[in-house]
Amino acid sequence: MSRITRSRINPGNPLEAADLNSRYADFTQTDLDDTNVADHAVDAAQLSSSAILVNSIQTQLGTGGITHAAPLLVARTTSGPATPVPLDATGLGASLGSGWAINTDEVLRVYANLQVRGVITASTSPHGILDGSVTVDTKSAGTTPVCIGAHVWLVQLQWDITSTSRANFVNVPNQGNFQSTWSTSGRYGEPLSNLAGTAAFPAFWSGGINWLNGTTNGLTDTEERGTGWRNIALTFHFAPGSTTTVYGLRLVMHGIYHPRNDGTNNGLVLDVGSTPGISAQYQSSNILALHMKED
Amino acid sequence: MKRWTQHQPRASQLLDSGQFNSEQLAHRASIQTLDRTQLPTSAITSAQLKSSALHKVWLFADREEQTKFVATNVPIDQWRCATFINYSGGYVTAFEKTLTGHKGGMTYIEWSGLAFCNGFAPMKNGKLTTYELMEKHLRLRIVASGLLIGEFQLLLAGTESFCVFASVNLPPGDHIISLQFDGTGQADDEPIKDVSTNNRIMQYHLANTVLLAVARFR
Repeated sequence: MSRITRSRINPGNPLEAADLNSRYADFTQTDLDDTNVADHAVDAAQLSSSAILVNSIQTQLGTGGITHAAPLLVARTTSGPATPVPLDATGLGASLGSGWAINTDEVLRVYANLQVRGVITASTSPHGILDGSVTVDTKSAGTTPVCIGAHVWLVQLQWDITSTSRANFVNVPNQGNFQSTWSTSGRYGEPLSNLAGTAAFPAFWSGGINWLNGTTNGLTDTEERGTGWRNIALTFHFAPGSTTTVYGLRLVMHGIYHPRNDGTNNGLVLDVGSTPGISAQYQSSNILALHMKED
Repeated sequence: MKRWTQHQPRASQLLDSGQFNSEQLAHRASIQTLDRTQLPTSAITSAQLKSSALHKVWLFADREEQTKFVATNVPIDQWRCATFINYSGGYVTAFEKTLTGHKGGMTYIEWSGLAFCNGFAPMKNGKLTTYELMEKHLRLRIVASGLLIGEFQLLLAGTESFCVFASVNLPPGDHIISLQFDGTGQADDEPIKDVSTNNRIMQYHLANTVLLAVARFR
């Protein structure tokens, strides 16, 4: 840092050439450094475009259409484990070019949105067949089983950290692949703590009609219907422990899963009940990835 | 831009100590606080930036699960979560994180995760042929150091992922960020337990939550 420390000229001081020259020389600063720069002096204008954001992409997956005229379908798996279905025609997902090297002081943020709906077409009601059936009081009619409607389809983010060919997509860290049985359930599943980069949407809507003031009358009909089109948001954030190069991102869908607890922990397990007519549809999707400096 | 600001020497001018002192005093302060217009192009690069000079990212990717109001008397095919035996509605704080080392500035705050709300939806027959859905919601809101900055009503029926976010200009200092939820209380004609097992029916749950905050310092 450079600064001027010479004292002022006081009354009575002789005015001499040497002193005057020294004072003029003070203004010829030769060792200015960044400590001399005032607060706020340095900002985005002085920096390269990668000072905060290193890389970014936005890519369309899915069908690209927004009219729902020709949605694509994902079939339900009833004997596990479920096979993840890539949500793009080639299965190659989004390319990150020659690869993004995510360093330890950087963060990868991935956001995906997807238009989906759960479909149920069979006349067979799933309550009593699928998980999540409870018996409720119908007063005049006694009791009846109903489905609590907690079934979900899962959309998971996968990445390729092997090569630019994007032929080796795997699950992201802290994300289970639902290919093994979970805990004591005996079902293919994962604990809720193992769902990084995983989004869920309801498989169907479950309701009861004519619940007329349940103290005097009760449920006369149960209904399970598709959920209608909706947009779901998937997020994934990754701060690596060591440099990780990511070459591609893609989305996969599989289901249906239901809540379960093993007496201690909560999880999602594959429901293998035999109710037919349950599937999922999807339409357009966008995936946005940001590679940025952590600080 | 710093310039010779006090006096412009002129030809044949007598030298005056006061003139020189004023200029020197002006520079003693200003030479230490150069502004950006005095810097040559590319004089400062990102390589010279100290950590957190311009921005900072806080990432709490612990995928935290709600632990408040967790009932244990639920069937095996439901989650241990908030039921109407232990939670009857109202805003409560589900998660809290602290943003340490905040230098002040605009801050983007984002919570994402998995939520469950009332899978079974009874409908009243209040209008005979027009069924009236028993309206229930799970609301989420983000509170930054006591300041409500975003409130969201999720269109939930069952299990669904969420991503809610808001931005706020925060002063320097550590900040506590809270994610609060509010589930609609039980209706007077809503089934809340399995009558055959006496187990409660799951109502609300939050899991797999991640907090991301990005601050752009002033």
